[in-house]
Amino acid sequence: MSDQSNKHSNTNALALDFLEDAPIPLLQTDDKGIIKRANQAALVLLQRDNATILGQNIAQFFARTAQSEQALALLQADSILKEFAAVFKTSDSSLRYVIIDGNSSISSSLSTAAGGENQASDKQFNFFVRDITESWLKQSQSNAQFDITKVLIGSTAIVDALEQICSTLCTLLKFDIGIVWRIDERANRMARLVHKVIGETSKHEYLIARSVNVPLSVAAGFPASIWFNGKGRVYTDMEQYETCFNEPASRMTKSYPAVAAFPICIGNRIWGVISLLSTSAAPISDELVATLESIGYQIGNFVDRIEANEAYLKSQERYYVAITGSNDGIWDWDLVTNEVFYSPRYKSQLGFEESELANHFDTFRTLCHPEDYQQVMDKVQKHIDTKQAYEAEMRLRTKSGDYKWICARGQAIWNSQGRAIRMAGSHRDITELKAAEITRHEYEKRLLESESMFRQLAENIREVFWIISARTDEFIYASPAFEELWLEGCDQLYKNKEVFFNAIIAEDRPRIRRALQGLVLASERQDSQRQDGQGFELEFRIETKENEIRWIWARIFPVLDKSGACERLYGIAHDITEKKEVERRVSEFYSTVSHELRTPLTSIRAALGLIEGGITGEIGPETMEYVSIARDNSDRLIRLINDILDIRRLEANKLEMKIENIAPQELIEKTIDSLRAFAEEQGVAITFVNKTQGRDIIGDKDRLVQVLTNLISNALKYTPRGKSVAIIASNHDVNVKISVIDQGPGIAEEHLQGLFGLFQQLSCVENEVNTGSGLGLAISKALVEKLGGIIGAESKVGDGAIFWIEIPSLETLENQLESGAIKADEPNRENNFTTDEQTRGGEDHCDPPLVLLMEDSDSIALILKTLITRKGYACMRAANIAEARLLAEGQRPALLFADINLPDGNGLDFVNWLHEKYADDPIPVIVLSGSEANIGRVLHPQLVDWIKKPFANDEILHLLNSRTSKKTSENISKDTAIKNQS
Amino acid sequence: MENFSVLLVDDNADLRKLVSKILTALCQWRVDTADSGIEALSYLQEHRPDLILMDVSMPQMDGLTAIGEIKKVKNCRAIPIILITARVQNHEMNQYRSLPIAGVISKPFDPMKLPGQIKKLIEQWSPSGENQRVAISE
Repeated sequence: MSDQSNKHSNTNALALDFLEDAPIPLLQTDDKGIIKRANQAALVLLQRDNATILGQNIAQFFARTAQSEQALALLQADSILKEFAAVFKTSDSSLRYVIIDGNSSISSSLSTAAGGENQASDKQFNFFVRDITESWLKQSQSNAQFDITKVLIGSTAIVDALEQICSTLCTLLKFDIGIVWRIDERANRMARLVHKVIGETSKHEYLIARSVNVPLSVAAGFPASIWFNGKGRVYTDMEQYETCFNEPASRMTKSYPAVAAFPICIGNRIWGVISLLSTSAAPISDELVATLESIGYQIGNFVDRIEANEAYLKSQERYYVAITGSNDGIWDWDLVTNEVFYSPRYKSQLGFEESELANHFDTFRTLCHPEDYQQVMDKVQKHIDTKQAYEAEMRLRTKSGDYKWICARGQAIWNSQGRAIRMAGSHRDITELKAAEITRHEYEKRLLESESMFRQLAENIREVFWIISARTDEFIYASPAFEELWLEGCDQLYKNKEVFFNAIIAEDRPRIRRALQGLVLASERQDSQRQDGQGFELEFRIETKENEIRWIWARIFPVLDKSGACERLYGIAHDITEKKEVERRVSEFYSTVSHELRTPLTSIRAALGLIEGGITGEIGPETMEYVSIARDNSDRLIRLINDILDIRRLEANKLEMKIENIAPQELIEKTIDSLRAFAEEQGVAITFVNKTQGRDIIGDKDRLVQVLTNLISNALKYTPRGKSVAIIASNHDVNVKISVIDQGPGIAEEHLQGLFGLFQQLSCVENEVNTGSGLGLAISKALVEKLGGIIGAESKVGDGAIFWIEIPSLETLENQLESGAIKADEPNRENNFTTDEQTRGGEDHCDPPLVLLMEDSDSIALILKTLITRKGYACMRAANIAEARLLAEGQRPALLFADINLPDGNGLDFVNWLHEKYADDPIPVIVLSGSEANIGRVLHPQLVDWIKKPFANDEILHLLNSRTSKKTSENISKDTAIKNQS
Repeated sequence: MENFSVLLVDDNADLRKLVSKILTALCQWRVDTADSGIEALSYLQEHRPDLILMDVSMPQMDGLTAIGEIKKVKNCRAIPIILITARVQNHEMNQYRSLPIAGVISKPFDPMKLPGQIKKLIEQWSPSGENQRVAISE
């Protein structure tokens, strides 16, 4: 051996031999770290011989470069190494933990020993090395075991504990990353539960990505091999194993030169695998493997204990669910075994005895309606996957074979791997709810079907057609024609119904709004008088974006649901601007014609009158006769014009009637007085007999005078000079009949029929007395009928004629009121409407709105009561303030009609009293008076309308409708605002 | 009613002549005429008639506008005004009811009865009672 010969040939042989044989490894280097000498112990430590060590730099035997640099730097600075901890690398790449003491000394004979080379410096460094690997490993193993035990005792959750364990093991045993996999034999994989990195994570990205799910097969290599062998293992050169993470191991070996892995065992079962990996070579030994294996068993025990506890908690949870959901059926489904616990209530809900249903999932599968099963299972899967709440509706077959609707709710329980292992929940019987829902669905479906038909129709007509949902008060459909008329998109309308209203001119808008809210149906009918079938008609104006005013005619009809509530409001509308324009022109034409004819006639009549009156000087009798003829005919022409205009007004329904009670005596006497001059002229006497015994008639005084004038003047014209015309007023049933009896030539029966038609000339009678316009009787008939009366004629040729009218009296009204013959005009529609509105208001829909009528005159009270009752309202009448107070205290009226002059005081005082009494919800009032001078006397002028006597029916009814509609509440809020300001 | 003076406002010359004749012949009233509301206003700058008879439809300024203007002229408020018009349809008559006038006489009229109708309307009228109903003489 060459070193032996060196030893003996050296002058310092003794000392050198001592060092050579010393049990402490010694390395001598020059000041650059080049090894000059290594003793036997050092060669053993590093597993080298002199040939492979001398002349090498000592740095390459350090496992970590930083340590070698630090050590050399210290010595080069003439310092010493005192218990310097370092890791040495042996030739087989295993690591030795060492403590180094070092110094520098002056070289003596070392240069010759090193082969006679010249030294740049005679300094040499001495390294005295102590190998502490074994003791360090023992120490850290015992530390690890101690720390692991501490972690496991303090933990209740598996994952948390495993993270701490990885962290502890890596720190103590100098590894960089720890990974725990859970064995999932069923899925044939190892699922990573935990990975814990000490230091920088970015270095381990590849490993972290690869290690999530690892195939559980021997061929996959590491780490499945641990599960397969059931033993712990350390790897210092993984390359000898063919695969790692199902790939060639080379990549792993480069990154992780040291790897330790061991199983977590519960008895014989391998629950999981822990692997520790180091990016540098870590000191590992067989003892370490044994220690790690024992730690693996320790963790196994812990896992077993925690899982048992979790199972106990799950059963507790089931118990809890069962208790809280006691009215519902309870189910608890073991997703692993498919066993299901069905509570007794679950079974009885479906009509089964406890023993009749097996506690297995198949029970549910067979009971569930085939159409519902898949949907339910999808929801279960979704719940398991996403952990979102589970709720499903399904039909379950009962024992009798029927199906019950069940609402199921439930909650899965996931194990620590995130796997759902059981699911428990409740079943509630929702059969009744569902039945109602299905009925509604079917109804809505049918409604939609019919609506779609409507739509098809609507798309193709020029009229605007729309549908409003009564529930949401929104337009849900409008036909394309809407866009043409409104110049706004249907989409805009659906978004905002105000698009519809904004186009309507301000004057008409509130009326239409109310109408569409279904609140003024009756008033609209009254306005238009053209209603038929259900619904009502409206006319209003819209202003388009181009500032063009258009007249719109609309018909609106409600669609009721089964319960009678309004579901939809359908509307159809079209542009009647042209029609309106024609109407306006016609009206204007009549006005113009009337004016243009009258103007020349005025001059003609005035001139003739002047001549006839002798103002222009004396004229001869013959001239006078002709002037009279001219004057007569101009008078006739004037009457004709007046009659034509009357007829036109009647036909256009523009004649206003002012209803009051009239004494027949005065009425007839007044008419006779106005005709006395004419009668004298005709040489005919007029007699009048009144047999009405004080019975009053109800009507429009001026119009009745007009009718009687027509009848009497006719009679006077046809009665020969010297004879007389008799007028008889008598009671006929409850009406008053006025007959005008002439002694004229009489009328043939065939002519009696058409007598009251337009332009009926009695051509059979002599022409010289035929001076009528031919319109008089037609006008009379229309007027009488408008007043609720009838007109007739009886005659025989040669025996004179009787023209009579029958006019309703107060008794007529009283009779009708008592017998109930006076009812709402259209009871059905009125009631539908009222029902709908009042149901929304939360009131009892059986009661019509109550009107309090305070009026001392019996006749006026009666007329009003008739009007009010006829409109579908209930009416209570008070003859004075005291009575009114009693009535109003008993029951809150919806509206007050008040007279001002009452026997016991001023009606306005009562109005104020009533407003104070019902201050929270003030009552609208209509005051009947001669003037509006007292307007300042009332507390809430906004709530009071004033009507002058005599009043027009239409006016009263219009107010009645608008005041009992929603307008009231608007006014109240306005009123309150005003009060607050003041 | 001696020295009673009337202003007749009408665009129709025939009618001006006829009414003047009637009132001068039957009542011995002094009648001045104007053919429009404008002319009436200029007449009233210098004259204070006891009565104004006013047509409604006239060019330049119609009767209703003229009435409003006349009521603004100093010392003219108390002059009774009677409309003599062929515009006597319902809606037109309703319009007249709110005017500060003594009454309406509809055209055509019986000339022999005209003075009586006018006198009756003047008697019923009082300049302060503005709320009273406008009397209509047909």
